[in-house]
Formats: sequence, structure tokens, C-alpha cells
Amino acid sequence: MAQVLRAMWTWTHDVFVNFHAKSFAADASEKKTIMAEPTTIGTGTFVRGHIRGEGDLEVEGRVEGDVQVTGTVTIQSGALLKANIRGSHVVVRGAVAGDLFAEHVVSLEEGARVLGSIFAPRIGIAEGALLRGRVETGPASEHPVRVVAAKATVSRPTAVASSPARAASNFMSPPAKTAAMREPLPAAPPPARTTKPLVSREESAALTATSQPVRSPSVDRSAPARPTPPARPAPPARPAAVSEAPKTKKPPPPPVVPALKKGARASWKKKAAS
Amino acid sequence: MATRGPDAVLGVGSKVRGRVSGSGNLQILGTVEGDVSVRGHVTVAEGASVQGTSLEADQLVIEGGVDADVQAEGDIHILANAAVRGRLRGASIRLDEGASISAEFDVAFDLPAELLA
Amino acid sequence: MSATVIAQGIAIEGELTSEDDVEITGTLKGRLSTRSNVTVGSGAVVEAEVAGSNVVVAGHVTGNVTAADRVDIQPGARLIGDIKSARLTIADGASFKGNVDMDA
Repeated sequence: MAQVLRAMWTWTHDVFVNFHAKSFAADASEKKTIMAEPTTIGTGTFVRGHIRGEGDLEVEGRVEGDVQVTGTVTIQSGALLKANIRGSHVVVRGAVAGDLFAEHVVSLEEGARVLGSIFAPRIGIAEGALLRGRVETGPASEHPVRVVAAKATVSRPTAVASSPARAASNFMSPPAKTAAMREPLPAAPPPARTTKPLVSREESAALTATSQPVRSPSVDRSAPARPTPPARPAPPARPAAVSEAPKTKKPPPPPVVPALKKGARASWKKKAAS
Repeated sequence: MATRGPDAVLGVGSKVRGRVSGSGNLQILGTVEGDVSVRGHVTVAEGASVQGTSLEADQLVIEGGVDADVQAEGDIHILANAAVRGRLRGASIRLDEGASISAEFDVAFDLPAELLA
Repeated sequence: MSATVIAQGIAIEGELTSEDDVEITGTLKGRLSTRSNVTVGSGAVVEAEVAGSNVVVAGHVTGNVTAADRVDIQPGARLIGDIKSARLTIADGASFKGNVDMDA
């Protein structure tokens, strides 16, 4: 019986979907696979407002506002953005006035012109790419998303732009922060990578979730048992993956700055595995 | 990279506490605690470190650790194993993925007019 | 002129102005205006004033639709808002609530 019902449902569903697909396809162009295609802001398009959601985004035109997607954001050559941009990967070949955040990689390629800061575990700036602003390979989630002033429909309040006050003795320690993340990001926050200073990421995630006063950056980074920020409204349970002990593999990195704490070095000196 | 061999090398086990200055190409394989101001090409090799207030050179290749404000007349190239902190200024700054950075990049250029706030 | 596509899963809140053809299968809240064509795909949710040369609606639109040329409301579509267009088709099976102004 159940099988029959299922078969019937499937049939009905298929008919329904095809019916719509046909009618849509008849007038529109090719039938597109839902969810599979990236969103494209064409060269002749100007979006003033927020672009959010799941999937990849390609910008060839202009955006003034804010961009937060779960997938890869590609800013093509010729694109002009006055916006903060957040994605899992962010590739820039155009011009951006705003901050860039990525869970994994921010890559500025030849032709890129960026006036703003970059926060991502891995950051590449190729020959021919120009940037003016902060560059931080520490945990990206700690940094507040400053709303770039957009004339129109920006509905969210400007986040407190706290100045990264690094503990002097701690290279790469999370900047002291009082700002909470502006809002629940689809999936933007702490990557589920296992090679990052997840501790600090969680720390900040917990911070932002509960708006606690900033804890000293010198908190023992090796404490793996970080509470998954439950209070955090939207983010996927990504921080759960984060609660592992920081990588202790001794990276090749420079003996560097004596001021550098052993733990700090080991933690963000992730090797390859992202 | 330097077009000719380095004029000066601070070897692997060496440690300089103080200022390093002059002209010529310099390769730092050891540790410098102090300022570096060299008219030439400076390389901070992997495993090496420079910690001070300022590191100045014509061109700079960083593969090791630098904790200082960096100023290059020309280009700065930061390789994947580097760890850099401070303010960086140069004609251009190239950054290879994998490097650890906590820095302020200061490169002169203008955004297209439409984006100038 | 390239195409602009707002895929399903993506939501835009604000104004979108364009010279391109715009196709939406995602969500748009605000305003959409293009010199070219608009296609609101089935599955799309648009809460906006929509203006284009030709506007095809197969999804859900809440807002007025203005077309320089024609408006096509397809079966399965739902439009709540006024239509201003010289030419218009509202298909069998489409849901429409609003006024129609066919004056050029």
C-alpha cells in the first residue's frame, strides 16, 4: 500500500514538476537545474541592498550593500562593489571597497583592487593585485562585519567596528573584540577545518553569541573543550567540528618573534589541510 | 630574488641584537632583534626571524618571521611559510597562500571613481 | 549584455536595476527594474515592484508589474499586484489578484 502511494505521489510530483518546467521553459530560455547554477549579477546590473543565501555568486556588475553566501563569491574583472563580502571562498579580480571574509580562502588575482580588510585562514594576493587594508589569517569569524554604508534598503544596524587590539605578546591572537557578529550568517562562520586555531574561533563565536565582554586573548588556546555556541542564532553547528585540540604539529614556520607563544604558532600555522 | 649573490649573510645560527644597515643584498638566515635598513635586496629566509621596529629595503622576500613595520621601495613578496606582523608598505605586496599574516598592507593605488566613498 | 540570474537559494533584499535580462528563481524583496526582460521562474518569490520590457511570471510575485511590451502570467504563477502593460496574457491556471491597465 505504501509503495502504491509512494508511486502515485512520485508520479504526480513528476507530472507537476514537468508541467511547470515545460511551461516555464517554453517562454524562458533553457531549463535550469535548481540550486546548481550560480547566481550572476551581470555587467549591466546594479544591486543596492543585501545578497544572501546558499550557493555560489558571481558578480560582474555593481553591488552596493552587503554580500553573504555559503558558496564561492567571484568578483570578476570590471565588477565594482561597495560592500562587505563573505563566502566560503572569495576570489577577486575586480574592485572592492569593503572587507572580505572567507571560511577558507580569499584570493586576490591580477587586476584586483581592494580597499578594505581581509580575514580568512588562507589569503593569496597575486602579482598585479593591489590591496590596502588589514590582512589577517587568524580566525575569520572574530571580525565584525562592518556595514558599508549603502544608501538604500540596508536594514541592519551598523556593527560595532572594534579595532583589533592585539595582545602585544600574542602574534595572531584574536583581536580584542566587543562587537557581536552582525547577524546570523548562513554558514559563514568558523570553518569546519581541522587545522585552524579553532579554539579561538569558538571563543569568539561564543563571544558573539552571548555578547559577553571580551575575554583576554591570552586565554589558553589549547583548551579544546569549547562550548559550541548554542546561543548563536543561525550558524550551522560548524563550531562543533572546531572543538578539537589545536594542531600541535610543529610547522616549519619561522622561529619568529620570540613573543610568539608556542601554542599560538602551532595553532594557526596550519599546514595544507584546509 | 636578488640578481646576484648576497653581499652579506647572517648565518643560520647567528643572532644580531641591534641595527643592521648599509647597502647591498642581505640574506638573513638567523635572528635579528633590532632594525634593519638596507639599500638592497633583503631576504628573510625560512626559519629566520626579524623582530624590531622597522625593516627597510629596496626589495624584500620574506619566508621566515617578521615582526616589524616593513617598508620597501619596490616589491615585497611573502612566501607561504612566512609569518608576518606589522605594517607593510611597498610598491606592491605579493602574498602566497599559506602564510600567516596579521598586518596592515599599505600600497598606493586608486579605486575606480565609482567606488570612492 | 550579460544575463543576470538570481538562483534559487539566494535572496536579494534591495533594489536591482539592470540593462540585462534578469531571471529569478530565488527571492527578491524590494524593487526590480530592467530595460530588458524579466523572468520570474517557478519557485521564485518576488516581493517587489517589477518593471521590464517583457515580464514573464511563473512564480510568486507580490507587487506591481509594469512592462514596456508585454506581461505573461503563466500557469501556476501567482501575482498579487497591478499590471501595467499594453499586452498581457494570463494563462489558465494562473492566479492573479489586482488591477490591469492596458493603456500604452
